[in-house]
Amino acid sequence: MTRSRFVTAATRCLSLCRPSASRRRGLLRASLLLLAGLGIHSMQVQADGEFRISAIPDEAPTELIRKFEPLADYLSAALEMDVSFVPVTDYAATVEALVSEQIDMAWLGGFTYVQAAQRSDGKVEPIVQRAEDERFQSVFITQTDSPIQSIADLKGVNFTFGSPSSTSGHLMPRHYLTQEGINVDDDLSVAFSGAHDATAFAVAGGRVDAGALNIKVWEKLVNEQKVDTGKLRVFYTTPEYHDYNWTIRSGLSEELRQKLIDAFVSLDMADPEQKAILDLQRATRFVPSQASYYDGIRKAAIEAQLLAKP
Amino acid sequence: MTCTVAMKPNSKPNSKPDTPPASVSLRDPDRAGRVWVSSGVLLLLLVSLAGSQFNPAVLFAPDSLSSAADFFDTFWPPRTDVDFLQRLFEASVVTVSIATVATVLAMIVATPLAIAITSRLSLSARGRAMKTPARLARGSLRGVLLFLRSVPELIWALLFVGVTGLGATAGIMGLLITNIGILAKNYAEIIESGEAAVTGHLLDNGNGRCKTLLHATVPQCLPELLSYSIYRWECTLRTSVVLGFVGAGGLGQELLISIRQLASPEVFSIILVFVLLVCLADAISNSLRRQLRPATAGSAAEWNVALRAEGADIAVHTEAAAGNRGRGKLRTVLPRWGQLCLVLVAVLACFQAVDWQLEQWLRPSSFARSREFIQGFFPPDLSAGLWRRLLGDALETLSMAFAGTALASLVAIALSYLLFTVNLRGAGLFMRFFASTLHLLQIVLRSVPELVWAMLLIIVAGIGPFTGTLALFLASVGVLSRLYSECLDNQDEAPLENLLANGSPLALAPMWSTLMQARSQLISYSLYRWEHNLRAATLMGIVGAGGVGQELYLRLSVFQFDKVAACVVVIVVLVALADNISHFLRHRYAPTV
Repeated sequence: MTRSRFVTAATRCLSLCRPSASRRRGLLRASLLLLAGLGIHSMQVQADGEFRISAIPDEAPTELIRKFEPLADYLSAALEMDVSFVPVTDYAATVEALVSEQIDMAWLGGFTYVQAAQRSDGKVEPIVQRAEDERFQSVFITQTDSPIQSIADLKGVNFTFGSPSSTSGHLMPRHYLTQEGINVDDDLSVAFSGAHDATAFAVAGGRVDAGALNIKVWEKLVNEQKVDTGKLRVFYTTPEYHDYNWTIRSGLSEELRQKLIDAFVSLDMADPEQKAILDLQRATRFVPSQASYYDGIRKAAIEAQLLAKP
Repeated sequence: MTCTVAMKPNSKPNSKPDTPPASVSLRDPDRAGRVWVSSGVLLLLLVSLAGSQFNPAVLFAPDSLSSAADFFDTFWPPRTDVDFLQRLFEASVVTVSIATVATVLAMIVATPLAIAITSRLSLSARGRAMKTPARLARGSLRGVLLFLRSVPELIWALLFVGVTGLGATAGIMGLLITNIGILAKNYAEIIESGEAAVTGHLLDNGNGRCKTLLHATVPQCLPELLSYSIYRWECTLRTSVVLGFVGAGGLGQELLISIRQLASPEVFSIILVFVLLVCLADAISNSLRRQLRPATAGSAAEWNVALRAEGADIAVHTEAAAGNRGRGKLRTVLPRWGQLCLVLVAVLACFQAVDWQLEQWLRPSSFARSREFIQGFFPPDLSAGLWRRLLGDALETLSMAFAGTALASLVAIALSYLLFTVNLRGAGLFMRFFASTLHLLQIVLRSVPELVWAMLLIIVAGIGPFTGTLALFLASVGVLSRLYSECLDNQDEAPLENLLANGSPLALAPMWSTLMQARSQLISYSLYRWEHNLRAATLMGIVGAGGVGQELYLRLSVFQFDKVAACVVVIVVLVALADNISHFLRHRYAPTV
């Protein structure tokens, strides 16, 4: 584990000076020696045995802590090491933290996973997702008495997305808007509410004409009667796409990776304690995930010009 | 902006002359020009109101009122349980430490930069024009500093999150870089405002530049330099709230989290603590600065006005007060040793309290990442679609800044005028109550940063540039009304007494005397405030309150740094433009200050 860390670190350091291929090996060895001192620190972090997990802030921070701390306790028992949940306030910062190995595993959306994969040169890996994440959708909402009946009616209106980094609150709604013939930048006056629930409240308050959000959050808001269905209606639901997953950073041992997958996949609704954890995740069960599931999202991001140049 | 206000009284008697004495012409010689300027400003205001989607009706729509009521109903009582207060105390320590560390480091870096850019110590400039290479070197360094200070702190901090990850150091770097730009520029200005003769003589007589610097240039303006640095610390403290966005910790992060959760009792407690902290910093900084009163009043005037327009609580240095302190008596104006030690210990404690995240910086991948990161910015995106959007956003940003400042100037002039006439009449119990309420309001309005106002107002006014305009308006009313009041109080009373003695009504007399006397100062304050507001307006989009910040935040979120670079270019151009326009207008139309 530590060795692979060294190699990663050294390769990255090397890319700083772009040496010729022949000098590469020598430099690599020299860097390895040089970095040995610095590496001691990372070994200590590993020796402490603390495994740090985080999540994109698609819901309120207290809600995230409530949701993930029981899971952290469960993982702690399964991995036989301390697992701590690190709350992060910004989507992009979560991606950066995972890529720069400040955290070991993160609950990412499809789009944030694609970003993390690109920024780490494909070194991060999605390991599991909820069964529900294989068929995820977004809903478009407007006020009940609004003249908007379909996507074609959206031309010239004020429209709000959630966070710019959100898959179900921005990227995929934007993608399907484009597919239906709307030029998002020219035909709409766009705003970002910052979060899914904020989008619902902004439309309910009449401050924007329409908005798009995560279908799960919408259902939760309706079930908990946080929004008035007399005031809001859904006028479009997107096709299905892959969304959230648990992504691990590069350089974790194969043993640890397998333990993590097993721990997630073995979560069972029949066990009352484990059911509580699954309920908090709004999941029925976890299934293995893989990078290719997110090719569609990557393609959508490239088409929407929302992915950095490789 | 205040043109409109200041001119009105003049145009009135011309349009409606009541019983003019035959011998005196009431015609204002400048009438045509003033009418043009006033109507131009008015037109600009209307355009910018439209551009910022100004629509106060939104505030009173039943939906807005109910969502506001939900949030503000539970504002009282503020959350005061011990756990929470302890958390706030710890957060306050972090905030103060970050601000202190960033200011002290910036002072250290800015000093040599300031010395490098000042023309005072140029050997080639002695007695003739500066040589071209020297001028080019100084000019380009000035350009770099302009760039450093034009990009808002939050943006620098967001950029550093990419290098060091989340945490205090990204916040410190953000504050540090902007501070370096601001401090170096102002240090150089202060050095140049000092008397040129002494430095010049020493240089002409063959003294080395180092010696001259230490024996003449610096001692001359050391009190001003220190005074300005302390003020900068206070400002940094206020700005540090916005760093909650990068997870820098401190009160800003607590506030951000609480606002996102719509936990109003917590929001109220945090704002209270923050206002108290800012007031405390005000008091400390004032007491330190009182002992450092600038040696020359005139030289200090210009940057003092600028600071005050940004919200600094600086007492007016009258010529008389400054005149009492002779130049060269450095020892009498330096603080006592005990105090100096106290400040030093406090600063060291702050350095100790900061989480330096050394392992993040030393991580070998950090270097590669920063390099990758910087490379990502070049070349900036030049695609037509993006620039068309950015142009629209830039106009929106300008509209927000102008509308916010102009409206705030109007309200502030009305408030301060009211207060002034009320004081003339003699203060009754009710009026004293009114005055102290107003004073309290001013403190609150000006302590809370514009971005925080915007986050609160979004709950009521929704997403869009109108919210940003309102936020700029609120903070500016707080600052300007206080400055205007002070300014009116400081005018010579003779013309007013004359008018009153000749039977002018009490409510109108100050309009023809005090207000006229103060008008260029008022305009000057408004212009400075406009400059400040433009900088603030570029950030509003980050919370959804309109302007160029939205595109910037979007592109930062999706890691498209070439597009981020385009946004930064627009922001730098806007800020530089505002700097120059304001400088030009101030010198052309308000030359008294």
